[in-house]
Order: sequence, then C-alpha cells, then structure tokens
Amino acid sequence: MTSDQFARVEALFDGACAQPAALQGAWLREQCPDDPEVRQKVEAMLAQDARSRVSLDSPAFGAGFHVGDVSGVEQRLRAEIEADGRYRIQSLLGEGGFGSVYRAEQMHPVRRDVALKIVKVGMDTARVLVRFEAECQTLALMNHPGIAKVLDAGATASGRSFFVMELVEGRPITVYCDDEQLDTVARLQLFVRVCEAVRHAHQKGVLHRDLKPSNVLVAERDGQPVPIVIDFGIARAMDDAAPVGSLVTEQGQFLGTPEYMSPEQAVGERDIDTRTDIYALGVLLYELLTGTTPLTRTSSDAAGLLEFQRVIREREPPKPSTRCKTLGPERVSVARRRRTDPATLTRTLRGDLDWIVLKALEKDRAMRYASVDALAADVGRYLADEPIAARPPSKSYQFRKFARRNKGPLAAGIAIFFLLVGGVIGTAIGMIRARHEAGVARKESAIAQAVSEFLNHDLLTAVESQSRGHDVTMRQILDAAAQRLDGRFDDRPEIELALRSSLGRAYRYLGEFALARKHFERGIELSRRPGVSAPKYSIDAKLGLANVDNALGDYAAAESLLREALDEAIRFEGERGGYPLLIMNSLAQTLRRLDRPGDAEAVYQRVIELRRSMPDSTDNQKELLTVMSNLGTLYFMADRYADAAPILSEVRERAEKMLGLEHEVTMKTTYDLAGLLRRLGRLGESEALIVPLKERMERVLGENHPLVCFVRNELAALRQDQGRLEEALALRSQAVAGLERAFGREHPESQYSIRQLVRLLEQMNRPDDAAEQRAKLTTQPATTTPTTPRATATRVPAALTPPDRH
Amino acid sequence: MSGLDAQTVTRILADFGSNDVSARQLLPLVYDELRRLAASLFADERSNHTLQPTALVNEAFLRMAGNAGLRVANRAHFFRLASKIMRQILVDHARGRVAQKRGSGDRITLDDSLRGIEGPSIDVLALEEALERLAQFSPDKARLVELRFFGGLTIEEAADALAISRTQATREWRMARAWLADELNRGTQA
Repeated sequence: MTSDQFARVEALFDGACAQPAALQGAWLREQCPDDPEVRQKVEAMLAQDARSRVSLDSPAFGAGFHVGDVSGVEQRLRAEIEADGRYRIQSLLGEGGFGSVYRAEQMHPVRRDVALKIVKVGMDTARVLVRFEAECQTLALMNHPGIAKVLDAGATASGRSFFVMELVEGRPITVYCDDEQLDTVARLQLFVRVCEAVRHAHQKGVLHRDLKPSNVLVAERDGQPVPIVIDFGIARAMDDAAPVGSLVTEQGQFLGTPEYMSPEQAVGERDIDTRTDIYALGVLLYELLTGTTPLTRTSSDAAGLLEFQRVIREREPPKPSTRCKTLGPERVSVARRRRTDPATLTRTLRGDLDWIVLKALEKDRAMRYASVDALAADVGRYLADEPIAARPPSKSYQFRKFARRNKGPLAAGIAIFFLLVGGVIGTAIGMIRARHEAGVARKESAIAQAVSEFLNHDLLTAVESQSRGHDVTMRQILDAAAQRLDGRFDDRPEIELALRSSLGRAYRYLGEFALARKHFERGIELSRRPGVSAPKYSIDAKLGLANVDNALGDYAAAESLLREALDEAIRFEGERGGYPLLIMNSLAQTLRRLDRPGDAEAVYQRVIELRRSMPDSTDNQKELLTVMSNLGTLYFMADRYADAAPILSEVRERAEKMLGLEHEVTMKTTYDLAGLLRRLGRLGESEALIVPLKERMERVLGENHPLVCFVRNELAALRQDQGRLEEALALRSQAVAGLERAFGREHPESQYSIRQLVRLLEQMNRPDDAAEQRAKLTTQPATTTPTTPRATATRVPAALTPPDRH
Repeated sequence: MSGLDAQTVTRILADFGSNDVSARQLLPLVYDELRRLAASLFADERSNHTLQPTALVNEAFLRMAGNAGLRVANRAHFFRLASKIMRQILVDHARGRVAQKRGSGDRITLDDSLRGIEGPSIDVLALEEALERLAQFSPDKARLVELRFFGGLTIEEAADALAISRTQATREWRMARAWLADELNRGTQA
C-alpha cells in the first residue's frame, strides 16, 4: 500500500463511519469505484470496527499482551519471499539488530543453499535497494575465500528488503576459538587470516563497517578452520537508509553494534574509511585475547546507550593485559579456554600485544594503523618474534591522552592546571625579583617553595590516584587538592592564603561559584589576621571574590570589595601599577552594571589616561584595548551607537591582529559588535561575525560555558530577525538550560534568557511551551540585584566581561 | 531508583517536555523502574501471566511520583515516555522468548491462560510489526496507539499528551484501531 492509498483509506473510513451501517457498502462502492485494494481494506476495517466489543473510551483493547505464535509474522514474510518462486525458506539461522537471517534454497538461476537476510521494518526499503545496486558492481569485484559473496537483493510485497548471500556454515570466531580452546598463538593466526580477507575487500574499495564476531564465521574445511567474513556491503546500504545524522535512534538504540563501533561512527560521522574497519578489528582482537570487548556496557537500557556513545568517544580502554588481570573470578575460565593460567596469559599479553591492540583502537583514526596490512604485519612480527612497529606511548603522548580525557566535561581543564601550577609559582618568583629587601624575599621564596611543593606533590598525587582505571576530571583533581588543604598550613597562613586564591580562581574558571567563594572568603579572612602580610594574595582573593559577586549578580558587594582592593593595591604598587589599573577596570564594569554609566565612564577614561601616559609596551597596548573595548560596550548599552561603533570596530581589528582570534578581548568585542550591527539592521555583517564566533567559543570554552550561552542568545536574536525561528528556538533553549545550570534559575541572566524564550515561543504560537517556561519566571527581580539594569534591548550580559589577568 | 529522591523526580517531571535534558535524565529512571516491575512479572511467566502493560506503567508512575502531587499534564508527559519504553521492553522480551523457544520447534502461545480474561490478547510481535507499518504512513496515529496500548492512557489523556483535540483523537483512534485489527487479522490468516 502506498501513502496515497493510505490517505484514501483514511478519508473513506472516516466518511463511511458517518453513514448508517446499512448504507456503508453502497456508499463505499460509489466513492471508490477504481481501487479495489483500498476498498477492500476499508471494508475490512469497517467490519473490525463493528466487531469491537469495547467502547472507544476504555483502555486499549482492555487486555494484555502475549508472546504469540511464532509463525504469525514469519509465515507471511516467508510466503511473500517464496511467492516468485526463486527462493524457498528452510529455517531461521539467527536474529540481529538489522533483521532475521534464514537458510534458504535458491531455485534460479542456480539451485543452491543460501543465507537470506530480511531487513527489519523501519528502514527505507527503496533507499536500501538503490544503495545496494550502486554497491553491487564493487561487491562483484571481491573474490576471496574469506569473504562470503552477496548474491542478490530484493523487496517483499509488504515492503521489506532482503539480501541473499553465500551460505556459510560456521560459528562466530569468538565462539569457535572458545569451543576449540585455541591458545593465543592459534587465535592470532586466525586473526591474521581475517585481516587478509578484509584487506582484499579494502583493495577493491569495499568497507565492511560492521565487523564483529557474528559477522566473522569460522567454518571447517578438511578439518582446518577457515574464517569467512559475511555481510560485506550490507551495512553501507542500510546505513544510508537509516535516519540521517546519527547512528542512534530516538529510543537510544544503536543501529550498529555499540561495542564494535568506532568513535567516528558513534558521533554519526558519514565520512568512514578503512580505519573504521581497523578499529573494529582491534575490538575483535581484544575480545579474542581477553574474552571481553575493550569497552563494556553495564546495562543495555536506552540511557545506558546514550552514555555509551560518549564512552566510545572518550574513554581509553584498559590494556588487554590489565583487563585480563582485573577480570575477577572469570579470569580462570578465560585463561583455561586459552589453554593457560591467568598469570601466564597476562604475561603473554603484556607489552607487544598490548601496544598492537591499543594502536588499532586509537580514538583518533590518524593514530591507528594506516592499513589492515600494517596491522596484520605487526601481528605477524609478533608471531615471528620480531620487533613490532607499534610503540608504547611516550610520556608526552600520555599527557596528551590525559588532556583529551579531561576535555569532555570541563573544557578548560588542562588550562586551569597550568593556571594553578604555573600562575602561582610564576608570580611569586616575579615578586622575589622585584623586591630587594632580603627578609621579604626570603618570605616570598618560602611561600613559593611551599606552594610549588603542594601543587606538584599533592595535586599530582591526586591526579594519579584518581586516574587509575577511570577518567578524572579537573574538578575531581581540584576537589582532592582542596581537601588536602584544610588544616595543613595552620601555622603558615600566608601559604594557605596563596593557595586559597589559586583554588578559588580555578573554581571560578570552572563556573563553580559557590566553591570559589568559599576559598576566596577563607583567603580574605586569613589576610586580615594580625601579622599576616601577603598583599598580592590578599588582593587576589578580594578581586576574585568581587568577580564571583559580579558573576552572581551581587554588584553592590562587588563594588565595596573592589574599592577595598584598590586602596590596598595603590598602597602596594602606586596608581600606575598592574593591580590598580586592573581593579579600576573591574570597578568600572561593576559601576556600569549598577546602572551608574557616568561613574563608570569616568573610571574608564582615567584608566585610558593612565595607560596612555605609560611607556608603550605590548602589554600596555593589550590592556588599553581591553579598556577601550569596555568603554565601547558602555556606549553601546547607553544606546550611544554612534560613539560605540567606531571604538568597537577599531578594538576588534587591532585585537585580532595583536592578540589573535581566540583571545578573550577579540571574542568579546566581536560579540558586542555583532549585537550592535544587528540592532542597526546590518544582519549580514552581524551574521558574518557571530556564526564563526560561536563555533570558536564552543571549541575554546566548551559547549556549556555561560559565555557560550550568551553568544547563543545573540545568534538566536539574529535568527529571529531573519525569521529563522526554529533555529532560534533551539539556540535559546540550549542557552537557558546552560545558564540555569551555571547560575541557577533565579539569576538575572537566567531570568532574562527565559523571558526571551517565552517571547519567542509566543511568537511561534506555542502557548503550552511558553506557559511552561513562564512558570519559571520569578515575579520580582532577584533580591540580590535591586539595581540590576533594566532588561533593555541593548543589554549586555554581566558576566561577559573582560578577563582579570592576575 | 538510581539514587534519585522523589523530589528530584518531581522536578524532572515538572520540567519534562520543556527540554531534552530532563527527558534524558528521566529516561533511565523510568526505564529501570519499568524493567524491574516487568522482570518480576516475567519471572512469574510459568504461571502463564498475560502481561498487562497498563498496570505496570501505572504502578511505575505511582512509585516514582510518590506523594508529590503531580499535575495531570506531567502525568501525560510521563506516560508519553513510559509507553514508548514499555513497548520496547515487551518487544525485547517477546523476541528473546521466541528465539529461545525456536530450537525446539515449540509453538509459544499463552492463549490457554487467557480464558476468563476479558477481551482479546494481542500478539506482541505481530502488533509491533503492524505498528511500524502504521508509523510509516501516519506517525501520529502510531504514537496515539502507543499511548493507548502500552501506556493505558484514556482518549482524553492521550489527546492532551499529543496536544490534539479530543474529537480528533477519537477519530484517529477509531481509524487506527480498525486498521490495526485488520492487519493483525490478516497476519494470522496468512
């Protein structure tokens, strides 16, 4: 039945239902004289409808379910396939994610036994077949004893596609190896032959894409095992017909086999090459050697699969030898099936085999073996006791892996690590040079020494102890370090103060404002103790806390902290020092948010004046750009577009040249300028700025960073102006979710974003969704921000401020 | 329940439908709970139980929502999700059973056990097949059936969950039911 026919059935059924029962038949013949299939269907439906004993209101069918007679569905399919006389179904061989496989007899043109695979409902049959026909030429080129030929494809009357293949009477390779208790060497020899078959296919330009034990069968010929790869070319045909963009269905089901899926497949990458098969071969080898796949699922539920998709991309599998050691009680039977004992098996795997397997399993395909040949050759070298090509990872390589592992949840993780280790020590040493007094120098030196020890020893120990066996996030490392801090430096408050400032800053960088506050407050408390003198760290702590207050919308508290820090800094360094200039910048930002643009402008002008009177260094130039950028933003917010546009354009141009595209000043100014241009109706120019900016920031800061949310909102506003509402909705929803997570729902930024989302939903005429969002709005402005600037069209998010570099 | 307290579940349920995140958070909870309940029934299968998904879903909902006093709208959201999962659980289970039994050539029917139960019982796999065909023509009707069959929602609740009018839901349900009944009927005759 076609869609058109279905639509007709639907209309006719509705129409017939409105007729008196006695007249339905005649009415139907009159309305549908031309299509007996449609008419018969409607007649049958009307009969079913009349027969229903339950009313329409009761729960469906009022009954339960049972596991029915197997033959019901199957017999119909068999009948359909056998209808044209070419095949006769004999028995069911197995079932998989894609469908069922039968043993069948081919009647024409040759009489022989074949395997017939019926694809599950839900795949687009027409596309499967078109794709398959396109592949047929290539598939026909393959001629290898280790590859089962695909012979034919077709569709059943009810629209299911099927494939016909050479019949292989064998067991999955893993089952075969275990049944026959093959030792590691015999398994490797078998594996090399699998590689040879795959290599043949690759040379003919055919990828498998779904290599796994059930697709690698071992048959016995003349008493010798012969591995045969089945299903070549089929995954490709199906992949193309699957829902676009992902290998995961709505219910979180993988269309492939998750354990054998490469990272590039897991993200739905369409650009698959031979290295995808190499990865799957790596998994197969891993399983042949250890009895388990490198990444294992603990549960098979839908959410587990979504999570597993992430795991495929991010988690580094344990070395085969490590896995063997940690198998638990199972390891005795695993070893026995390899005719050995656990300890010997672990020793056999350790070293060369570990590296071979891990090289095939690299997440980054550029790091894998370049060809199946290279993989087979390395296994061959191992078997011949020659040096292998795969190498144990170097230290720097391991560090890169560590960095990548930690990139996931907290994008800036590694950067913070250096911020902590490098920043604190660096500035402390700088101060020693600057200060000549011996006593002060000694003290600073002692602080630096202790801090360095703490970071290098405790923090790295934390990394090591945490990283064993599972992923560590920067957050976990920080937590571990913070725990070690309590009570550790009771007699040396200056050192604790220095460390609290650093930890606070790291947490703030991660958006963990509550924790950041805790450390800063503790630091400030220490700095106020009699006898404690470490002005740099004391200023750091106050500045840090002020930044947290600003980020959380408590601008009044921020102002008073900043003024306190400014006094201290001027006493410490004089007005032209690094700190006072930096603090003045923050102060001006805060005043702006307190809706005192006049005060803010005056402070900015003072900083610009001071900077212009200083020796012309690159650093000074950079700072000048920052301040000018902020002044531009201030004008922007005060609707002084004519003042704002030239200053922002100038800063953006100079910053891009001097600081690069990914520098914060460049990014922030770009953001402002995009908003400005949009409001001036110059949508094309605005788009040219904001689209690349969003991508850049997502890459640099991670998907969930608050600043990324602001940029999403800006892009959303642009899409709205362009009438691309669905895109705008997606962006705004993401932004709201991100902000709620970072700041909480009550925060002015979150509230502002939610309001925008509500407006958009109303505009899109989705009152229910709008109401749901509106329920999140607090009726009153948040209590901490009595002076929050009005949410005007020109409002700039408070947290998108220039960085404090100290 | 995966270590999440009732309050959290309530919050997630309250948010549900507003974004993907909460749906994703909720999914494993509902799934676990349903599977656990279903498993206890499956374990009993020797005594030839007919599976009543409606009862399972309702029980899961009561357990998860606790005394939190959820709104009707949330209930509909919950059932939208739960019915989808319930369907999956039943189909997976049925496939497992069929595969298990196949070697021995047994026919698996629990029909004998149905005597005395009101109304007919439906072959899970046959329904799944027919439902997937229906979804190809009319995804909306398939969703409606899913809510009614596997979630046990009334027409009114299903209409709410799908944001369609009650009249429309009634008409579509009548059509879908007749269509499916005929498909299932053909399947057994073939």
